[in-house]
Amino acid sequence: MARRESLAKKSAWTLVAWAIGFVMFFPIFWTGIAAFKSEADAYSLPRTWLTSPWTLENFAIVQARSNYLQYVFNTTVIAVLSTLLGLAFAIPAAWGMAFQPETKPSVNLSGKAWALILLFFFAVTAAIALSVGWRMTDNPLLGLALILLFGLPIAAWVWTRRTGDKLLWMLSTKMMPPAGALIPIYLIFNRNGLVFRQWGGVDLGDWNLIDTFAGMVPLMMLLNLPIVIWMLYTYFKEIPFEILEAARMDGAGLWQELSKVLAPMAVPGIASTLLLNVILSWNEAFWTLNLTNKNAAPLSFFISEYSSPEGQFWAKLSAASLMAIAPIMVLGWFSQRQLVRGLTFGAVK
Amino acid sequence: MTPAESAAKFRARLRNQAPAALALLPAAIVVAVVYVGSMLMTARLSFSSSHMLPTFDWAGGEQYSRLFDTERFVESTQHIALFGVLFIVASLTLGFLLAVFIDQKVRFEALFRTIFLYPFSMSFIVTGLVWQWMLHPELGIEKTVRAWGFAHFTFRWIVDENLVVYTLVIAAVWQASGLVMAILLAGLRGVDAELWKATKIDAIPTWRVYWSVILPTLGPMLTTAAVLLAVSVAKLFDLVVAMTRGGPGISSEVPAKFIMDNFFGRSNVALGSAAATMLLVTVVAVVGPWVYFEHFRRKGVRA
Amino acid sequence: MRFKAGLMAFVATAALAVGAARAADPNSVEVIHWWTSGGEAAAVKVFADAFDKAGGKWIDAAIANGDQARAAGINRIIGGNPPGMMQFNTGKQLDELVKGGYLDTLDALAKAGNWAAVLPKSIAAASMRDGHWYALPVNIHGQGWMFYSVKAFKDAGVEPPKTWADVLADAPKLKAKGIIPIAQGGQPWQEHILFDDVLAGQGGSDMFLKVYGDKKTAAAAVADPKFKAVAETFKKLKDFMDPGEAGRNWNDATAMVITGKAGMQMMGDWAKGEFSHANQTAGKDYGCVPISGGYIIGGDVFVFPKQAGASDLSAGQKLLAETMFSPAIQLAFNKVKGSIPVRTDVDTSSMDTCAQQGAALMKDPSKQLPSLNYLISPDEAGALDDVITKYFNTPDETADQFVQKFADAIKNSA
Repeated sequence: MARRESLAKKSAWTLVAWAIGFVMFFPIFWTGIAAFKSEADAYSLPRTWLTSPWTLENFAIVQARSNYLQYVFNTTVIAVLSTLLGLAFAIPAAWGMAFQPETKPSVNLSGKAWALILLFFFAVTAAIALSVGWRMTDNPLLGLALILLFGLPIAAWVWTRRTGDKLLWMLSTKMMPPAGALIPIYLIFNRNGLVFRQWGGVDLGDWNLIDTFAGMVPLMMLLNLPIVIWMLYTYFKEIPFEILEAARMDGAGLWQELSKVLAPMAVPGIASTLLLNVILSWNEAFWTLNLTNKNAAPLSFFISEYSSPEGQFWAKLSAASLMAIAPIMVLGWFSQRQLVRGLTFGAVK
Repeated sequence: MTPAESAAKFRARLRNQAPAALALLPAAIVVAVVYVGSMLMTARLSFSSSHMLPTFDWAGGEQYSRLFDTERFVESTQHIALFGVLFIVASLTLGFLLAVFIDQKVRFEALFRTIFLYPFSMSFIVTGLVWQWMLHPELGIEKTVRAWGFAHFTFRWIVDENLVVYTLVIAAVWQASGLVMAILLAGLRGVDAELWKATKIDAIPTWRVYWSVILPTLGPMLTTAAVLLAVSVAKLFDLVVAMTRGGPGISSEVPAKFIMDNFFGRSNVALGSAAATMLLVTVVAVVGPWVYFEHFRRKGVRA
Repeated sequence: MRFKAGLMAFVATAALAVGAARAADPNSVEVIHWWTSGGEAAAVKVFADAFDKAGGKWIDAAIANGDQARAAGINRIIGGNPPGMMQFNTGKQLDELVKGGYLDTLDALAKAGNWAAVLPKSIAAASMRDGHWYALPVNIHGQGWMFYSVKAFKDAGVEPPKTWADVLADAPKLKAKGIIPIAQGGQPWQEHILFDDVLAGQGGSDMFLKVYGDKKTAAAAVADPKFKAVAETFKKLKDFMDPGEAGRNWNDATAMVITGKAGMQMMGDWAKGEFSHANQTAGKDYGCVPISGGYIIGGDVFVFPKQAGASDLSAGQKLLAETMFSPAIQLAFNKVKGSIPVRTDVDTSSMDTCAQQGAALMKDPSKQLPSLNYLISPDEAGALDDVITKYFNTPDETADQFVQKFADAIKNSA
């Protein structure tokens, strides 16, 4: 860098840096202090933060009341299993996008992309109209049309050779507000028997997914699948294509190509993806608050428990907050880059 | 090209692409069926008369007329609009300043980057709880400033029905500006060193360079950041629940909370679905143009 | 290899955790309830200890906040993983579960324990559906109480109020002495309780029943100028609260009266649990006035969801119901909880003055009003919550606007 800064200017910047850093860090700092104070001392912060005695009792109380370790266990189970399950879907998909042999485009790409986008919006609106119409008229033809409308965008998506378009399509689903999908998901989790009987006319029996790992693991997998695919894709993309070509020349099949050649080279990328997914699952609150309460409740549920009945017990609240974020603070330190990379859908590499 | 040739070419293409397409299929089906399917079902339920349990009868636009007659929903949309605009503008501004600032090659750069990013790695629940305390009318910031000697300092926005939305903005900006910083910093680091040399020679002040030369080149990054922030606006729920619970009164209610309350506590599945559908339509209207924009930005560049 | 083994163990534990909720011990009963505040937790411990002593095993599954606890419990019941026993408020909340056939009847127990004879008629009716017993009532709560700090009123030199007019007259005097006149929790349900207290106390029982009754009578009652006067009184109370009221929990508000920081709180008699938990005595440290002019009856019941593969209540469930309903435990529990026993054959003379006042009111049917859980749907109650909290927290909303919105909310909701 060609800019030369005078020493004075540089130290001024450093000073400002510390000031801004302090302001940004202040709430976390405050929470960190309060967690180690008695309830009364926490209340009289900040005057006494150096003088009042330090204590670990808040942590003991929180653990005794809510069994923190159980929540940590639940969070870990959901995060790890959902990531592994997600990888099962994501690795083939990312492989498909990263190493699909590309031919020179022979059609006008912008026209094709136009068509794709239009098709997507057309499909969504028409499908809403048709599903309504189907239930109103009980016309199987309309039902068939509905299936086609689901099928067409999928087919178009798979067929489009522009990887960027595929990724965009996938990532755009991640942007939908979860409240829009909560009711159906909840019904599938909990009133599935009823839903299938009413909606599809088939009796699959009742089963419960609320507050179970069997429900939360696939759900969390789904939520993060677009990001996982995207992450893997960017890592796969860095693997030289020639190696794969060489393997194909040697007659390696699809499975061998994946397991013998690709997987070993992709291990660092997969590990980063796993880390990111753990963090995402860790912070997920919307779904866990609404769909769990005990057996499969993760840390976000644990911390929300302290927001309602214990409003004024700030020291315990701080201790609970600290316990909930501590693993993330540690992981976050090591995985900043993955975090930003994953959460920004690739705006930053 | 003869028909036979093109058919052979097509077959070759099929043979080449079929495995890749097959590999993509499971993920595509899962995403399409679950996401799109859920949204369709939500839309369908909004035209029913469902209460505690879903029924797929037909009640026409009844829920929508009630929805727009419901003061709480109408106000929720106003809150979210105000919150959204302020939150996006403030986060972009602050994030940009932080990025410019880190770009000055301050010492311990990595440390500051991490500190600025830390709030972002905390969930909205924790953010909400921490800020609830910071903004409490008798504790937190007010108390701290008073302890510094300003005995009459008051900062009670969180209990003021006209100002409470701004407190949500403060907490959310605190949480998100680190993310904007990270996105923009990557852009700043991509700026050519030659550019700086040139502007130094012409004695253009640094702030002018940032404002007139560099900011315009950050356009795509700013758009991405803005879209990410906009998406989190539509999702806003846990922050409100942890921080204000919609109060005082209904002055910090948001659509997502309205949906939840109607769905769970009030046994009002159809009305909640109608509100959810409105939310979805709005988000599609925002994300759609972005998808379009992104596509044309990447046009010509093989992804 | 070790990783693989670890993973297998992980999956196995996860699967186990899913299945583990179904306890095998016939005497153990898992109980979902929302009694988590200090006084409430102490009260529920009376039940738990008595049950454990009688040979059972109480598995506590407390979930803070009634709405959340009910939602969680209903989810588990419908989803096929029911708790052994679950709390509801007396009233309409359990209707859907009864209709769906998810609950065991308690007919045999009721017959053996002669429930019909010892329960007040309204409570018995609320525990039955189509002639069968489905709910075990455990207490009667009065919603329309005003609790005051004896010390605060003495310091201010004011007589505790008896009516809403008195409240409005006394509050400025307390304020002048630097005491917060009214401790309030700024959450919609608490504001709704406050509104109901004014409605019943100032507007009268008749108006209360009409407003929350049939939709046609409601429209006329809401249009009555007396209803507007109620709205105006309600709004005036806001001036006598502190700025920290927004979002506060009811037990935190009670704590303000306990410490004398605030003068009074309008709350259900469950607040008494907090007073006794803080070692305060009714009549000496704090006083109570039925500010709603009567007794807005609420209460808690427990239901016993049908268990997978069982045709009747388990031995543990039966034992638990009997234990909770026995006169001695009823008395002990309600003393701590702040409510009054559901059994009319329990001697209440050992209870505090507030409970005795309540028990006396319960003897006069004209003073009894059902709480909202009996009267209106959750949809309507929720819509009214919104209207009331909006009015109460918006300084420039007029009583006329409020009346209009209130009428609309009743009309639009189910």
